[in-house]
Amino acid sequence: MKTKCISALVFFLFFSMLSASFIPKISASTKDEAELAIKSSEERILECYLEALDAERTGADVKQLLIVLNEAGSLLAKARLAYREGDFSVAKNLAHQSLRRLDGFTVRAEALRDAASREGFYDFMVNFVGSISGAVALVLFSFLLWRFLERKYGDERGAL
Amino acid sequence: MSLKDYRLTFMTVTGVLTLLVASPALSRILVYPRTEFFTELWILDANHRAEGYPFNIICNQNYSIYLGIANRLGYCAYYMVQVKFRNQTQPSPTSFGPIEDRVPSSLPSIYNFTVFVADEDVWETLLTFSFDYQESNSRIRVYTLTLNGSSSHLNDEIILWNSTRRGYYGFLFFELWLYNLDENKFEYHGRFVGLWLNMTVETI
Repeated sequence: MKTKCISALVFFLFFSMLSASFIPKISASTKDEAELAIKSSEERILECYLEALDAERTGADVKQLLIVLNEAGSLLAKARLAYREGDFSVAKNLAHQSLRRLDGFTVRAEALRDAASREGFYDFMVNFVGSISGAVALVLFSFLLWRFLERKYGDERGAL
Repeated sequence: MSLKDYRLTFMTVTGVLTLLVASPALSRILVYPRTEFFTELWILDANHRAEGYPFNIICNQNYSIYLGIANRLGYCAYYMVQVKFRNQTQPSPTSFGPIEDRVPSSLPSIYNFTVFVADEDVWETLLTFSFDYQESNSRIRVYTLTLNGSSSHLNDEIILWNSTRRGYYGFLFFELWLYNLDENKFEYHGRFVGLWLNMTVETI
């Protein structure tokens, strides 16, 4: 009986020491993972912002893209706070959620950019080139019409 | 009447028609360029007015304000709002003088949130906050700030009794930072808004 108790005690002590040595490692690992996830999320958000900015420069309406970015940013802010408060698993989870929220962002941004680029080209051709060409054509037509009228009716005094 | 008598009328009609046809192109050329690029930052009370701001604070009670940003920078901007809290002696940010000379508070932020705002667009959010604090020996120790349900420790912020104004005063403020695309980092945008709060204590 005594031997059993000693064995149990030794086993308990051994297990406790083993657990104690493992817990910080697991914690450190979770902390690193959380840090990595937060960093990845920060970098991805920045990439997406630059894509949105690029789309905006071509004339796209990027408000829908910014809504997605704001949602991802909000999750990242919560992840940072959880990390600061030492809640690393929550921080990691939130950072991953933030990353997932940005899935397909690049495709959407590129589609918006291309559409805006096409629209911009047509808009330029119709509203700028077309308008200027129309104005020049109108002036030329008026000039030619006047010359024609002059030739036809110019000599006939009092005809009009 | 001769044809020459109609010359002026003809030219006027031609001129007006030409201007009409050219107006889409002219509207692009003759636009007065934007010269003022800036950001607006504000806080409003829970009723969306600038009059009923929270002032007398009770421990662990929720208070709400609106925080708003209007982007007039000419491009969609990436902002960061840093939430900070200070007592009457700790450093305050500056918001006057040339923007490059303005400095943020050196205090660490309690909470950061990033905001993306399209050009000429407005972003606004409701912020609900509460403080957990305790008084002892003419000083208040602030433990946590809870902002929109997320609690953050304040590293035992101490607020001393202000004998002239008879209260414990803390300043909750929101610094605006802007992502600088050339420097690839956030920089203080020279603006902050905040609320002086009188941290009241229930007397038994």
